[in-house]
Amino acid sequence: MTIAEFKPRQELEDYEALRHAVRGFLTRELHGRAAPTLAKSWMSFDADFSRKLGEQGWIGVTLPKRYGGLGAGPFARHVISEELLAASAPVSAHWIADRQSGPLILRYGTEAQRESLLPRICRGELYFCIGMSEPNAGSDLAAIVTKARRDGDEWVVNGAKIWTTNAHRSHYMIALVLTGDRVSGRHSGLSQLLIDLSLPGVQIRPIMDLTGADSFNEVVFTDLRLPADALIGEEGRGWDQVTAELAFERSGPERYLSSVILLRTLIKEVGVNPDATQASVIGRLVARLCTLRHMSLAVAAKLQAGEDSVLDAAIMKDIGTAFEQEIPELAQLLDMAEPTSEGGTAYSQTLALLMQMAPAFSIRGGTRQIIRGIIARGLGLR
Amino acid sequence: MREIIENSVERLFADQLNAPAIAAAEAAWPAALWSAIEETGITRATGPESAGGGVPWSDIFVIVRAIGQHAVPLPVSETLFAHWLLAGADLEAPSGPMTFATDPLHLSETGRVSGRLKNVPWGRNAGHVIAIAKRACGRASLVQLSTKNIAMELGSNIAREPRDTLNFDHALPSAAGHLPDVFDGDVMRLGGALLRSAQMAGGLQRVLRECLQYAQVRRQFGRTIGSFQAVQHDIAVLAEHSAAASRIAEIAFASTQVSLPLLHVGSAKIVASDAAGAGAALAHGIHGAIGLASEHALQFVTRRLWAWRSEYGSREVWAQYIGKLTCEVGESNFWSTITNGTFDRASVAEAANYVVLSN
Repeated sequence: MTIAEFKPRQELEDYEALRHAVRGFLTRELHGRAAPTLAKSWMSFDADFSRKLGEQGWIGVTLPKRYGGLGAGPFARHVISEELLAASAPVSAHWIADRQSGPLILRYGTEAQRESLLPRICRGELYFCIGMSEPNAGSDLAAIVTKARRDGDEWVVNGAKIWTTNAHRSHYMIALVLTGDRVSGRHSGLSQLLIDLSLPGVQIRPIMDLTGADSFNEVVFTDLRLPADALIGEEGRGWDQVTAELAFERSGPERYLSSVILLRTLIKEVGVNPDATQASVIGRLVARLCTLRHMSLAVAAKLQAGEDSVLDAAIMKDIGTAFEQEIPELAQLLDMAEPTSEGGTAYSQTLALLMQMAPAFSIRGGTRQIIRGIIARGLGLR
Repeated sequence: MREIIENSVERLFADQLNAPAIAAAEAAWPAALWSAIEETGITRATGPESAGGGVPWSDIFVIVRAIGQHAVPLPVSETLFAHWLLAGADLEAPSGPMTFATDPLHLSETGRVSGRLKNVPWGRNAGHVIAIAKRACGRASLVQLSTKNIAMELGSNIAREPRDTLNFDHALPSAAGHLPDVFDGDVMRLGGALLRSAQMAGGLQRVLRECLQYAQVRRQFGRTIGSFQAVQHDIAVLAEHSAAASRIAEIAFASTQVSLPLLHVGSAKIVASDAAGAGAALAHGIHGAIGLASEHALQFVTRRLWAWRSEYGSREVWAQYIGKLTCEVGESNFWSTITNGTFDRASVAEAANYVVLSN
């Protein structure tokens, strides 16, 4: 019922060399970047950075060596992710491919798909977006209506995906679509398709978000024709595959480190002599950060051991995103600067950005309400 | 090892403790219960290996957490910590219940101690109290004092656990030794915070279990209250508090070896204290009026959660302390402090090399 019993020292010490190598790389690559630029971190698209990271071998590390990976366990990826996100590195370009598309293709893809896609993912050259949400299917993912029908050797896709981060800068989308009838319940008849976003029949419309950024999109498919081998995994098993894919999304360091740049900037702004209120806010945040880090590590250890971690990951995500959201709230209360969109200081701009980004933290990857339902189910109440 | 300890402690406490037994112990010292627990040897687990101890703190965690789970109305945590202190100073430990004090005593040239020790857990029942005694020059010793025939003012916390004030006037310690360098002056407060964090984590596990059981049998509006989404979400939040408190308390215990790790102990006390308040409120809300009845299992645990979160520094006191130290090591040392798990290794060299944020 509680997060896995876990002896962190032995496990973590095995990865100290990797941690320091990544930290050294980041120190060189990110030197002198301003906090507001870094604030978007895993929402910040920087193909150059992704390629350099790929050159180091640090993308797709859990994939087998024959596909360009390191054949490492989930723990290695966890340590790399921690360092990237703690430094607020711009990882958005390769993030989805590294976190979920690569492992999904490895697990369910054909040999041809693996050989053609995975090495380029590992090199930091090939970017993916997630095709799940639709205009009328958000939390209720099974309500999707985008349909793919067979026509000879091809799939013909019609429908639309929405809130698709980086669709306009990605090469592929892995989309959940209806390929059959929902004969045996709402979760049947669904499949995952690999969609080349450069094909005719794909229209990508940007949706500006409240921060003024253009990372969201609506992606419309009009008689889009895909080859038969665009199917990933088994026809009709899309729901199970997507459920497994979501498990990669829920317990990583991106569920508690999204606002860490603001905490770092706050500490810098406060300086070495905090007053009692400032010390209290920072101390409580540090305590929660230590806790969340060890909870997240415990889930990674469970994943590494191949154990079921659905409940733990949901608990981790709900507390982690609450923590991320509270940092701008508490910083605002300290009244050290008003948030600014223009002018002001690195601190006031970082505060403004995180404040506006914060609502998304408990929406993406499963809303707070959905996550608490998953916890209740894990506890035997549903 | 840990599983064996956990199972035997669980069996022991489950056999010995139910609501009437705890209520009786809150009214009068349960000598037979103490003997039953002491006989198993668990109270000496932190002493030297030659005296039946040598169990690492990472395993002691499960004992201390179980004390919270079962609302054990005895100074088991305190005795464990006292054995560890004595072993650290190479002093032989007496048998029987022991306790410790956070206030320092004054140590005279003739080796006698004087002073007032406030809020000593089970001062009236413990045979000995362990305290730090300082000479005028500032040098500190660890002293073991008999509690026989000393002036005492009785008090109790809201869990009705004795918290007594002990007055010593030129008393001769039954043992005294050099305070090891690895114990700083804060060792008593740190130790107290460490123990209470794990006890609160155990208490939260227990209230979660009570809520899960109750929500699945109590029916209102024709169905179990656990089938209502509002109740499910309250219990989910309670489970989050329980998991967080347990995780960080366990980390604090696991990183305790010869000294107490300030960052992790402080974090554990902060997170567990927050969780205790929020968790107790949620649990009572879920139970409704029945949780307030004096014979109900829930209130034995929630009263302890309320008591323990205030002891050895509230959340706010610890937050200010950890916050001050974080600011002292600075932004550039921030992440390495978190990954090292200690303020000690914050180094100027590493800081100079970390990602520099421009202004």
